[in-house]
Amino acid sequence: MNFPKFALLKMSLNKGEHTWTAADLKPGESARILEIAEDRVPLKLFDMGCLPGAEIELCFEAPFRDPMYFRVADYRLAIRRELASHIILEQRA
Amino acid sequence: MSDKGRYLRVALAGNPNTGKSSLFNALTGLNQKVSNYPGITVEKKTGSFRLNDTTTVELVDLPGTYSLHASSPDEEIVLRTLTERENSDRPDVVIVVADVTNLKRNLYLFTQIADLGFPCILALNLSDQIDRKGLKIDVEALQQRFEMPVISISARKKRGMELLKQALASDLKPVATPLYAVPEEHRSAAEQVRQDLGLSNTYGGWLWLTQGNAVEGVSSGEAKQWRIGETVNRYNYLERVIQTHTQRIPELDRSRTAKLDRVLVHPVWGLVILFTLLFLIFQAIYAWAEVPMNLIDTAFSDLSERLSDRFPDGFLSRLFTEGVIPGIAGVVIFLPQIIILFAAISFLEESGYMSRVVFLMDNILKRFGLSGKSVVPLISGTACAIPAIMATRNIENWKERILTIFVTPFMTCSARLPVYAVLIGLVIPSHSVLGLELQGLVLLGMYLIGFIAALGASWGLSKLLRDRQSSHFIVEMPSYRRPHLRNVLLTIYEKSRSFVVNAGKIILLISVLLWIMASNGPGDQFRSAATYVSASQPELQGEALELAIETHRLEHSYIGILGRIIEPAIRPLGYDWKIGIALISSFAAREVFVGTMATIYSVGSDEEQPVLERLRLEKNPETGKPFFNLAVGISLLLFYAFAMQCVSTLSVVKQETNGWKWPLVQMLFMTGLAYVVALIAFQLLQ
Repeated sequence: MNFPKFALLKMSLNKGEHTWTAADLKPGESARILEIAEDRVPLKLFDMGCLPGAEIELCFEAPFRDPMYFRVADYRLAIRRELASHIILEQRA
Repeated sequence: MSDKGRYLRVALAGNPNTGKSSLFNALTGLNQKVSNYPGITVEKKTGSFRLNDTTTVELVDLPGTYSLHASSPDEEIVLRTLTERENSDRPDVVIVVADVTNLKRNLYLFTQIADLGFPCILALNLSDQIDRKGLKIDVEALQQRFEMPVISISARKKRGMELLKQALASDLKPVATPLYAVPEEHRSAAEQVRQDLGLSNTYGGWLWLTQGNAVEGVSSGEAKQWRIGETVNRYNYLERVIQTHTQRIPELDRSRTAKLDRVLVHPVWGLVILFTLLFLIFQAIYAWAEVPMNLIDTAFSDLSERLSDRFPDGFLSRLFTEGVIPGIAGVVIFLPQIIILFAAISFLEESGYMSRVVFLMDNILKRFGLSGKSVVPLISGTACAIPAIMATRNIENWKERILTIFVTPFMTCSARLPVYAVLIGLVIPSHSVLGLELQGLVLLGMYLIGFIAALGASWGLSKLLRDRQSSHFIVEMPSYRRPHLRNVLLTIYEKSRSFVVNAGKIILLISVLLWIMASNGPGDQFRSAATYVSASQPELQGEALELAIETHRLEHSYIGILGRIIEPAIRPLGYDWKIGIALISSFAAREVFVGTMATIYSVGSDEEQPVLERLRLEKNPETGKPFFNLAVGISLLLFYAFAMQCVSTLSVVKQETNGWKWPLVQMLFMTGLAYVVALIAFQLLQ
């Protein structure tokens, strides 16, 4: 498996239409990352291997459903819902 | 220099939670030192061990990081240490510790460090889990691929240490060709940065060039894009490496951690378990620590007594037995609480549960500018602020950590309880309201006030303080592990040691100073107190006479004079100079208030009940009514709830923030707040 080219990351988001993001996942659901809004997401997340092409699964939600506990690229990671909403997922088949 | 004196400087680098500290402990044992990097509050761990007959290794444990991009002070330390040519910690060799369960992310950092031109050793940790997890790694092939020694170790079980040392002793070389080439179009800019900043190679220049705002003419957005390009490139490369050299039987590992987390981070059960644990920790430092604390107290006062019997009476002997020994006791007395709290905390950290605490509490505490981890210091603060403030060390974000340190002393600590008991007994009637004891309700209210003050102050201050680093919440949830006894013991040892040598000496110094001020005075009134008392109250005899002399001495000691000096300032709060004396002397520790009141009012015992009885009789000379009325009582209660009346807390804040700025700001803020609130309360109730 190869990650999509760098150019793909530069695509800006179309604000009008609804995009399917990691914040929309339900516990137990997983999807492949399509792109990440790079101006909103800190480098640390990229550094940790959270990159387009990787599989992401929502494992648990904290009380009041925030933060969210994901499994991505072989390890577990908690981020806030707001940040998760900048991780765009491939549409479900 | 002789052959025996050869030193090899080695740095340990790696992701957080890879067992880097375990390896550090395994290699250096007790031969380690914890200090601070100059000017900032990042912990610096150094140690040494003998490699062979000719070489000693000086080991630096670099802060855990996921990459060489610096977004926090600790990460900047790693970047500086590994890129600056003149850096005093610049290593000869870097050991990169990698956790085999997510090798790709660990190798990402490894390839970055290798590209800086260091001879590296890749230490694959948790090797005993490789087979169990259904993961097979072709170590030999990795070694050839990276042209560096790759060694399987188990840091906890101290396995692979000999191989690691052999590798360190061998002739190590940097990689011939970098694994990632700085893009052609940016190479000259990176080279320029290398020269300007005195860095070791072009890739180092690239790291600073893409740091964002570090170099003029490059916007942070642009820098970020370039950097993401590198990240994608490296991960693509590593994906191929992993595919070729490892074999994974998937789904084997999901089991244990996932099963535990189904309960431990459950919105209901997770919180129930968390608060049960917090309650147990509180119980341990509040109640269980009391046994050893009483033993320490008795042992030291026995020692004082025995020594004062042996020495001839005089200033030096009293300085020693009444000033220095109780001062040392005042330092040692905190050790049981520190030991118990850090046993608990390193247990939570080592097991991987601390990340779940952060996950569960983030939503609530982020509203007040605090970290999820702040919950442990805050709850511990209801027993004692000293260990609680030391427990903020593991909050990574600078702002969240400062806020936690700043507001923890508002929590109602156990030293306030004797003060509250006397004051509540004095001014709150023992009625019951709706079947509830009024005095008990007021005490509960005092706890609540402390809690609200802590959160409120944090909320307000979080608006004022600027972020020093990105406040994004990105927390790895490590696999659960059995805590390792050696690491727990080393943490406890290190925390106790650093408390005694850092905060301890300040506490000792100030408590001796306070003793000198209370037991010495200028002028005749102090020196010939007995003559004055017998002249003014000739009817007194025996114990009553002795008590009256002691009172007279205190009134004319330096503290007594100071009490009179501050009287105009505290009169609007309803206090007289006698309370002024108690306020100043209880700066050593809040509970000293009761003992000082006992001396001032010539009460033979410093138990709460007799003091309370005596205070009840005290009349206001102007009105003839009881002095300690509701207004004075409430004013004092509120003053003790908010004021920074604790030298030990200030010393420990100085230790933890690495300077006098924060303890001073904290003292001004808390005592100022206490003054205003007590003033308003007294004026309204009067």
